[in-house]
Amino acid sequence: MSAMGEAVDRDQFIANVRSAVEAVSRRSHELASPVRRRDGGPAGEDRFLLFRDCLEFAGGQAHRAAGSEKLREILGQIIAGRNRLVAWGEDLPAGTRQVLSEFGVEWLPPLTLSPSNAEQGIPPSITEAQVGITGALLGVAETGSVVLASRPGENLLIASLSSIHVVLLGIDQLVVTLGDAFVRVPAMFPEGLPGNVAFISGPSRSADIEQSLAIGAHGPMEVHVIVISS
Amino acid sequence: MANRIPDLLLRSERAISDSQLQRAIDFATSRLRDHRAKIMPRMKGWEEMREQARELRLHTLAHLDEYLEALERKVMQRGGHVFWARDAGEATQYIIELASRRRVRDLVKTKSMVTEEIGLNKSLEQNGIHPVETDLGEYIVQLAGETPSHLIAPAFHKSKEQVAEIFSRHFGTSIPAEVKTIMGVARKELRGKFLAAPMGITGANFAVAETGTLVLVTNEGNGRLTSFLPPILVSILGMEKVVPRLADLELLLNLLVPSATGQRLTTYVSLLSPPRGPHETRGPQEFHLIILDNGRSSILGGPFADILTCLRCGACLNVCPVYQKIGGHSYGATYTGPMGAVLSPLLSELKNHDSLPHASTLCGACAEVCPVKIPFPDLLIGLRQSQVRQGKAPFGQSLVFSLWSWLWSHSRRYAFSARLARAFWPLLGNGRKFPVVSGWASGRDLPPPAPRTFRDLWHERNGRSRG
Repeated sequence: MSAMGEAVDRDQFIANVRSAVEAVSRRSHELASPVRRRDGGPAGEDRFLLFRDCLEFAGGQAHRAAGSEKLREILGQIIAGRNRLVAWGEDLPAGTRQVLSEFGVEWLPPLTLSPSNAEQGIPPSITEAQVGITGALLGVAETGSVVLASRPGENLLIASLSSIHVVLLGIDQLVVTLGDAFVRVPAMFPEGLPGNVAFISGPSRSADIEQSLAIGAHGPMEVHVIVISS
Repeated sequence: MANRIPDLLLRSERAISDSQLQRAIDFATSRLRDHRAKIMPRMKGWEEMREQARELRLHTLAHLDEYLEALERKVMQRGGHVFWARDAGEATQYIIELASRRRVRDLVKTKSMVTEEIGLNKSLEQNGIHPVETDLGEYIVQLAGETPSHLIAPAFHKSKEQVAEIFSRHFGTSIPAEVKTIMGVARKELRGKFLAAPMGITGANFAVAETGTLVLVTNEGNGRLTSFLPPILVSILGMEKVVPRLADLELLLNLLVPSATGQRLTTYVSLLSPPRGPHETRGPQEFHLIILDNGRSSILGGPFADILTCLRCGACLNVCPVYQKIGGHSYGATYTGPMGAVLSPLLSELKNHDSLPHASTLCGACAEVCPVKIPFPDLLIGLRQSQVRQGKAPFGQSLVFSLWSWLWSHSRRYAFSARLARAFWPLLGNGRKFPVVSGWASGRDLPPPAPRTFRDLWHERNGRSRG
């Protein structure tokens, strides 16, 4: 696997592809602009209703909390009887940290681990968490998705490993289409996309045994998204 | 190993007489068809989207060299390594050498057809490296020592009782035949593997040239953990899976997912741009992208290039009357169903899978559901023609068609053949006992020849002489 050998192989690989495609007229297939819908789609509460419908279709649950009191009530119902709660503090809608603290969540700091720290493994508070709470970059109404990205901190690990994942989202963070998300997300990261961006739509599932749907394959068994007015 | 028509027939006969398998195929394919049908009302502008996706994919293929080089640049800019593998051997060798250098003995893997295509697991095992499949269906198939039988439902041929038996044997403890319990066992076992594995291997549903981003479309979450926890990530990309821009993913995901599982979107869609950035806590520190040719460049630019637009959704399998009877394993190839009947023989340059283009009734149901409008019947007929031109058609078949074409290409011989058929009709078992094509004829009712031919009637009405 010498560097020289690789370079020769690489050039030969590309040359093979090039000579193959030059056999057809390249101009016969122009690149059209990505297809986007012209109107903005439903707005405000209607957008939330679309989101709720689509998240439920994907097996998750959407809740609407117009104020702190409502948020307390919804969190109380989800968390009831479960005491190992972890939360990641960044990207949360304004004013929600206080409410979460009342429930006794363990805050995981937005630390950058050095490579040697990372090798020490995953904090047991995450692997043993019953409920993991994070914010998100966006919610996508027509697919019932929330979008999370790797940051300094453990948000993606919480989203992958907790038994119940609760996402707090401001209503102004909801977009309508996947296409909207593919425009908005890169715009948030002018330096380039984070290493890992996850579109999460409902709980982890598998239908690999006799095509019967079973929830909770490797990720969370429940996904709740609480949409908050800021 | 050759995969000739007798081999295909033998495997098919075995599959058709296996009643458990027949029930499983019926159940899985009808379930997947129903799911797809149910989502369709939500997918506005479907036909338009198919057309746009077809154009996008054909454009990408026409500029494949440029997009692959752009992808390479982006991946290298982020600190990833790119290896160009011209064939299966080069790809597996690269991974084996990398694993040896990094002293990797156990690794985790996501479901990936391209790793099946290059026989990765077998090569790794032969070199003392143990890959663990982490998709539940693939895990079952791996524990059973088999191969996947469907693009997206690899273990559908196993009943839950059979799965429980496989698990009980593997874990040395009795596991009941309940889906929830079996899945719980897999979840616990595999979570330990994710946390410990020094290397993860994935395929890729797409790779975005514009940003150097790989796209993984999964439901279980194993793809998330495989691509996120181990310090080294290796991804293998079939070179035709490149996509020009991030914004193109909307169209492709909107077509792929409803076609495959009938979901609006899979639970997880991961956009991976590894290795991890300086401010990110987790994610692989080392990333290798393997771009695989393995016969694709010989399809590109040729008459069958359309098959390279395939998104691997599996919808064509579920509607195919042949697949629905013989199942995936009868094809004897990595890729099965209509897409496999076209792709498998092409990837092996018609050397190994000559029989597969014949595993089709040409009914066209596959082309109708295909999200990128691949004209399957045309491609299948084209492949059959090229076999005939290369002199690969079976002798009996060539004889029948030559005789038929010689008989019917001249009016006197045509008339003679009609008289002959009438005369020998009783000897032919009323059309059910044809020599050479007995297999084909025995299941069909050939209408008996009319007592008087059209020509006779015509001449009688218009007089013997023309004019």
